[in-house]
Amino acid sequence: MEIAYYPGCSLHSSSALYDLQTRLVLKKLGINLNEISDWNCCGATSAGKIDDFLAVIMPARNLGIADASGFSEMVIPCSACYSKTLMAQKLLENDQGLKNKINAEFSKKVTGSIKISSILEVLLANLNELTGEANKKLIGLKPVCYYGCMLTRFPYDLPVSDNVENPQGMETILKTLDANPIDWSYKTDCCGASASVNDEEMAFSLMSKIMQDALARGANCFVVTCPLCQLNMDAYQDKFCEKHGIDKRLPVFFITECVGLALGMGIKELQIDRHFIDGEGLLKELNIL
Amino acid sequence: MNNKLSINTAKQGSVLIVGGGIGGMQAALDLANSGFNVQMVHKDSGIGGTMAMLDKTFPTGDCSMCMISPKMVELSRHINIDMHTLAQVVSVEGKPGDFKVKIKLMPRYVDPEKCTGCGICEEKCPKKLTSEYEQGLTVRKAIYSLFPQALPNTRVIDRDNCIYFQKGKCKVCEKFCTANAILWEDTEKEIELNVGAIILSPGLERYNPVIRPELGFGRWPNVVTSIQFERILSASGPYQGTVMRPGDKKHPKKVAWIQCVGSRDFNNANPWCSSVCCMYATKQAMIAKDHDPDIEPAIFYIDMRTFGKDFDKYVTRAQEDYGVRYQRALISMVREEPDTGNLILRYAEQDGKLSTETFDMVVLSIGFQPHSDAVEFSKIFGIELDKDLFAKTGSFTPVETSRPGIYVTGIYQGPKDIPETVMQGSAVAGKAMELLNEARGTKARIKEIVPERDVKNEDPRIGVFVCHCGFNIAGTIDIQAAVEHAKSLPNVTHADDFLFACSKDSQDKIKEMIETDKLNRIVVAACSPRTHEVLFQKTLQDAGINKYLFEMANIRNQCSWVHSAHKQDASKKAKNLIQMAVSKASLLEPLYEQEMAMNRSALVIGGGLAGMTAAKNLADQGYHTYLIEKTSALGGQALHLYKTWQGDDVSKYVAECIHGINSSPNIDVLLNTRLKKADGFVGNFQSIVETKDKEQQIEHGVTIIATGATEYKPDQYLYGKDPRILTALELDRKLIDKDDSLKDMNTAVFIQCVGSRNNENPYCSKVCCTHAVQNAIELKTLNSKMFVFILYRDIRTFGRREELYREAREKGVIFIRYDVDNEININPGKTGLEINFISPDLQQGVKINANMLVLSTAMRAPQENPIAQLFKLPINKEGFFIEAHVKLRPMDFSAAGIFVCGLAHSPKPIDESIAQGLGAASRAVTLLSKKKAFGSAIVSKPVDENCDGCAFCIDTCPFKALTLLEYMRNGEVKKTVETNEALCEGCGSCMATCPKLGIFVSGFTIDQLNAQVEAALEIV
Repeated sequence: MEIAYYPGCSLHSSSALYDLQTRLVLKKLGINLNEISDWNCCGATSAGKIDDFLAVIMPARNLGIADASGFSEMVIPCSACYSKTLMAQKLLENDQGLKNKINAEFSKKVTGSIKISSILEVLLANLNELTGEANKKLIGLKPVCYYGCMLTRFPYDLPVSDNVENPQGMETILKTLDANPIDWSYKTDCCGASASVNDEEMAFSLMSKIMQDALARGANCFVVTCPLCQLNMDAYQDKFCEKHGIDKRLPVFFITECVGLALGMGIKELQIDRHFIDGEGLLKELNIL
Repeated sequence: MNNKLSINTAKQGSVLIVGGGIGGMQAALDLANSGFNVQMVHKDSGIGGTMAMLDKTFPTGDCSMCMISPKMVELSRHINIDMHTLAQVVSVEGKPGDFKVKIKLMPRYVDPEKCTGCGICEEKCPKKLTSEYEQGLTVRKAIYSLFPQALPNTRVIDRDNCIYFQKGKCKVCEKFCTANAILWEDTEKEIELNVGAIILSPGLERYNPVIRPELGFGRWPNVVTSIQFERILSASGPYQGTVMRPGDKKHPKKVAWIQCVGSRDFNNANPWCSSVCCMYATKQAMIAKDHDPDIEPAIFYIDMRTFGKDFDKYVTRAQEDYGVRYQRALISMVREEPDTGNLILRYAEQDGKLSTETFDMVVLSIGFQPHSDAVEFSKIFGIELDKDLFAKTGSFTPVETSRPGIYVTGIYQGPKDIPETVMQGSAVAGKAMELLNEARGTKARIKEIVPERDVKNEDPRIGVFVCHCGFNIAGTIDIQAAVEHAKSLPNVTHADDFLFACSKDSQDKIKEMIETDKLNRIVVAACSPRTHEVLFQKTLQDAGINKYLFEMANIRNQCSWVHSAHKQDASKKAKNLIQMAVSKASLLEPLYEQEMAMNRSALVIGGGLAGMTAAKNLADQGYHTYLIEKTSALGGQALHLYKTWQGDDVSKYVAECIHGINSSPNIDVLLNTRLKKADGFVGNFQSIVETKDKEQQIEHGVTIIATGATEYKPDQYLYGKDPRILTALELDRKLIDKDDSLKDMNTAVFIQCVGSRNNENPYCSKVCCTHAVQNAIELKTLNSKMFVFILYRDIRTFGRREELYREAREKGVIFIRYDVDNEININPGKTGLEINFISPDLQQGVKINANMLVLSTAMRAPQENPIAQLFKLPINKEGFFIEAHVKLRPMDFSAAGIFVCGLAHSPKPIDESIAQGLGAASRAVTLLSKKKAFGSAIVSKPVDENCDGCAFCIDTCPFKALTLLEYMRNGEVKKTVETNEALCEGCGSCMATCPKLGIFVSGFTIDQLNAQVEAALEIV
């Protein structure tokens, strides 16, 4: 199967390993990713702070390119990119005037025909393939699935494919792979996002709450889909734990890493060794490696 | 025995009632007691509905089962009511007066003719599954009844979970059943009923908060729904009344209620208000504290909607006497503390600061919504639904559907509490009676009176029955010791105990024992005679014993409930109480009620909407009605109103109503008429009325009080000192007159609760929030640029009216809360009225320059109430009439034959006044439809030999039932007193006053009372 792919800025820089994992893992499931050409930043949360129109036109340009690409579906792993692109698509669908205004600027016009999917939607749609291809069981892995604040947070007229307040996408995939995901109170809570740059104290207090609940639940790792959540919880873990008197550490895996491991891929292949908090130890202990 | 009245009518004298909750039951009883046959169809295996699941009810704290089970038993033994459970309507054909209805009866697999309700099958059944009735907190068996007092008490087999049906093995129930009642071959049946009218009372579903996972229901074990909490509080529930949290069975200390779960939520749940949750959360908080004084309840809410009669007082009591904390903040998320199972709530304080607090348990106050099959249901009956899937009814026709002959009642019509449901139950019965009046009696069965056994020459043979009341009594009192003690008492022939003496099978056992052991006096040691005396008296009648040969010992309310911490002493006291009852029972004599002729006409006092509705309904049923009105016109307060909240023209309806009254041949309207004198009693009232100095006497069998209320003209906020300051009705007048100046207003301000909810008048006037919101929308419609502000304390747009609140906000009406502690200052100036106050939500002062200030003032009962005085009827501190029972008899008075409806009872909107008017008429017809009225047998009897005519008793009698007589005896004048037994209420004041043993009250003679006192002082 061939689908379009929008990595976004993070997956080409600080979360390059997520880009690599996504390609590898989906390839193994028979899905070829075709990165759309000449894509631009989606605007993330920054564009909207400056200008409403900017917040729509930035992802809209990518939509135009995607609609013109000839593919019927485009996967966007990054939560912010997914969210902004999907919202822009919905907005343009409802507002013909705005759509015309924006399309006037583009050579590749937005038609609204392409389906925008999250990484979880694609994995869930191919769960049978995954079960078929998997050769390692993730027994003993007790993750808390951390969705972050953007993946299921949309205006009420936009249908969301997962339960908004208690999403189950990652749990479903992980249970199929014999892991034991644990329910907890911070599934969709904010990690502080970009505030880790400009308001460290506030961001650290948010991250520490997430950490404490996960530890109190008896989890042995986090599993995430958002590159910024992963970065925050992983890269800053030593710092915020020290600040808040937390002794234990938990590795923060991308969902694609878990899937990759189940498909028999190795640490170097998936670049799990690039994480700040060591995950190798846990995986060796559980005989997953 | 059928009453073969040869009336040639095409209409059927029977009514189908779909749904056996309290609303359906009230309608059934009113109809059955008025000469109609009732066919009741109920989907579950037992009747009772939502009310049967509650522990206690607000605002009295009465036990819900105690109030509903006597009605259920009355229904089940009523000769004119046929109950079909596990039944559903499949199709309806025909027209009003003549419907053919097909009913599907699901198989019970137990033969109701043979089953004795002993319950051994349930005890022995090995298959356990989650109990729906106990809201998942415990298990039930595959063969079961909904609850111990279920009616019918025949068990039912859940085929999908029965081991025999699913796997072909077991049959343990059949093995143990001594009545051979298991019916494996039972099948689905279909029956056809021919009825004249159909009443729909299927109730509503409860919102399931599992779809709101952020609130934690279904995720965190210590988050429960309010209905689960009812079961937790209940002594017959999963924890026997001990308040524990499901997760670890610990006793919670801090318990939080989250209001409006599933309600007032346009986006994610239901947009309406469910009307009852503010009150039930308050009730649960207080009852929980009664069970465990360590509990600290906190209620998180948006608006406190306690608008009903005495409801605000209830909340004040909760705060002051019980320490219930009310926090105005809505909770959006419930987190769990992993190691403790506690729950963390975050909310904004009044000053905006965010607080995080940990609670041991969280209760979600869930709301109501239409059943999931609401659409199919409506199609079967051919009725229209509104956009929210409630049955469509009208502003002035609250119980009528879009299809003539088919009516609705209860919460199916819209979320409401029990008193309103009962009112509507009677109201809908009245409507059905109106339709089928000519067929009254044609299908009624006449009860064969069981001939009374003459016990005069028998020695007393007393049967004593001690009730466990589940754990209510048995949890504190040693029942077996009490039974043994009873057996040792003189004249006691038989002593036994029951799990629930009030259940139908207990009645059957009592009857059986009377017959087998030739018992002639019965003592039941259980709960209060107030709720259950009539129930047991009927059982005696059915067994052929005079019903006054019965005595009750209250070993629950007066013993186990108040001495639960002292089990040994309580058990001793119970023995004394039983001994008292037995001693008295030995001395009881049969008593007989006086029969009185029933004058089949009615007097309605007050010509407003409630009075007119009652009068019209009575007249349409063929009963001559006198309608007196003290002013020169009919219409009452409705003459001042513009539109109903649904937007219907009030004056048009009032005109139609008046026309209907004036053209009815059965109504005599007397305007400018006041009541001068009220004499007589039920069936035989004589009233003297005065019209412009001319008096006339009216004789009537029943009286309906509809004397209304008026708008308070305030002395605050400079009312009367500036033409720009109006009351709500004055604004309505401007709207009715299409006053042009309104649309040119720049700014209009409403102030709510003027004269309501204060120390002198601690009640809510119920209609003003809706009225203000409705008028604010009108103003915005006249001029969308107008600034409209509503200054409020709580917005009480209850039930479906919540939509108006949303509409107002969408149109730009601004709602600002004010504090009762901080005054609103009005400063009239040339350019406008300067209104200054402090907003507690904004934490700062607000200044509004208004062109018009509308004061939403209170509804006031009259200062002087001559009607109350003339009829000797009780009124509360606020001047509204006090009904016989707040929950179950909201239109009756303790005095027979007199009923109340409309604003005279309490503030209410038009649709409720109309419903209560219909309800009062229906209640009246249960008397008018009979040729006789019965007095009480508990009346005073003078003893001529002892009485010397001192007449002390005459002054003491509050009911003026005694008169002094003189007659000649042995050549001398002998004075004596005589009792008017119809007026006498048996209070005993005369007996207590008399120094000569010259008068006693039947059933409470000096000997009987002395025997009780001696028994009380016995060392047991």
